[in-house]
This record gives sequence, C-alpha cells and structure tokens, in this order.
Amino acid sequence: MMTVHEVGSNEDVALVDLIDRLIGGGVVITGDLVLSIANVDLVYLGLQLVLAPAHAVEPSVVLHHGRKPVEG
Amino acid sequence: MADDIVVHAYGLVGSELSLRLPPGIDGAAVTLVNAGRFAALVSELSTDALGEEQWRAHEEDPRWLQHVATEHHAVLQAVVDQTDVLPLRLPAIYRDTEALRRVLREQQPELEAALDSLRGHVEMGTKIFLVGPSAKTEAQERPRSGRDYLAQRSAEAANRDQARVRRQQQVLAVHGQLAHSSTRSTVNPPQEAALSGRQEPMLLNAAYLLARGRFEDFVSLAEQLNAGLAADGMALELTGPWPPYNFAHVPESTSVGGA
Repeated sequence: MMTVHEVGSNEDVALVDLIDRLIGGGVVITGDLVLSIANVDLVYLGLQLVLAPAHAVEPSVVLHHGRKPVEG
Repeated sequence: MADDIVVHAYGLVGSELSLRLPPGIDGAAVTLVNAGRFAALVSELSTDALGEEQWRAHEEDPRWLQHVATEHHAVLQAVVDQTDVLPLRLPAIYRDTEALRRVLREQQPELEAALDSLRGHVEMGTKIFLVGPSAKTEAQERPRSGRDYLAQRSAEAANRDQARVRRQQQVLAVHGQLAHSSTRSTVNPPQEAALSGRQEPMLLNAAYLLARGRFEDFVSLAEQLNAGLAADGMALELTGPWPPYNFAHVPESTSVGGA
C-alpha cells in the first residue's frame, strides 16, 4: 500500500503537488520589478485550469479559489 | 544598457559551494550571484521570454505558467539533492544582477535567518487517502417492518459516524507522530479530486521539515503507520524529498520591511 515517491529532478513530479507548494511557498524578495498582477494566486488559478479537465469540474469550483474540505 | 535581459532567481544557497547546476528555464545557464553568506541561483533570460511584460501577458495562460513553474522547480530539486536551498516564490525577476545583489544585501539578516532555519533539512509530503469501505457494512437482515427499517438505518448512520470519528483520531495521531519525528510541520487543505485525479477522499495533506539524517527513520515510521491505517481502509503516501517550499519563510519577528 505504501508508496514513497522520490521526487527526482526528472519531470515525474505531480503538478498538483507542485502547485500545493507554490501557493504561498517560497520567500518573496521584493525587487525593482514589482509584479502586482501576476501573483502566485494567479499562477495557481491558471494551473488549476490546466489540471482540471473541463468536464470534471463545475465552473464555480475552478473560479472560486476555495477548496472544499473533505469529510473525514 | 542591456535592457533585453531579465534575471530570474530560483532560490538561495550557502555561498562558496561547488554545485552541479542543471540547465534552467528554457535551457538557460544557471549561475550563482554571491551576496555575503549566501548566493542566489539565477538565470539571465531574454525579457521576451520572462520579462515583466511576459508575466503580465501570460498570467492567464496556464500552459506558460506550468512551463515556468515546472522548470523553476526542476532547478530547485536538482540543487536540494546536493545542498540546502531556500526557494523563492514566483514571479522572481530582477532588472539585472546588480539590482538583485542590492535587494539581497538590504534583506540579508532576514534571508540568512530563513536559510539558516532550513539548514540540513528537506521537505517530505504526506497524504492519507480513504481507500477502503467508508464503514463496515455487514450483511443486513431484510427489515421485517418499517420500524425495523428505520432502526437499521439509524444504526448504520451511528456506525458511520463512529467510523468517521475513529478515522479522524487515527489521522491526527499519525500526523502527530510524523510531526514529532520532524523539525516542523504544516497541514495544507486537501487537494481537490478534480486536480489530483484521485477519487478517494483525501484525509490529510501535510508537509514535514525533516533533518536529512532522519530520512530513513521517517520512511520506516511512515511505513509502520501506514500498516495501521490500512486496517481501517486508509492509505498513506509519501512524497519527497522536496525543496522546503512549505517552510521557506522570513521569520516574522524580523519581517522584511517595505511593501
């Protein structure tokens, strides 16, 4: 049952796992080029659109950023 | 003045390291820009490829973003396999290396503290899925009356609730043990099924900052915990080692001034 995915330098990393880490992950070093529009939320939103097949997701789920908690 | 070049920074590492640096975004060379006790991993790219205009133009272009994010990550991943790295958040572009050096110098104490807090560590990811039946469904006798039927339904609901509570307790206990054997931990929202492609409910999506020397122990512990979860229809998956994205923070007490 147990699977350990070694995240190698190759491109087998699951994009959804990478997105998870790009949201709010990493430090911001404010420089001279200030990108106020292209922020990480938009990166995330954009990548969600790549990942989610159009038929699999309600438009509201894609557009609303929030994620539904899964009932445990 | 070379206006056609932009500097993209991937992350920070200790200075005076000899690293095998992989190719960067669009195959550009990755080099080190030294600034005191640390150095930034950077690529010089054409503004036509990754300049401010390009970020603005592509902010609703998921494939472009996927490409940049994946190649940004590939560099950090190749480096974390060799040494400790402080990942930078996207977008991370600077007019030139001198501009980058200047901001690194201005924010040196905070950045050193952030990098120091990750020394000797990597990030591990853990997800727990509900893979088995959500509750033990024993073969029911056919209800003999409406009252029996309602009683059965009510008992089933109570069983499901008990099973759910027990699973929640198990998941919390597993997280507690993994957190105990790591340096820091954080719990993220579960991934949506539509994004992960997994239909099973995700019960835990956590990240652990793990001392490199504890990797084998951590994996064995996870295997052991997974065996316990499996008995109740759950499965644990480990990913990593990752660059410590979830733990790359400038310390709050000395947060970088100026917004």
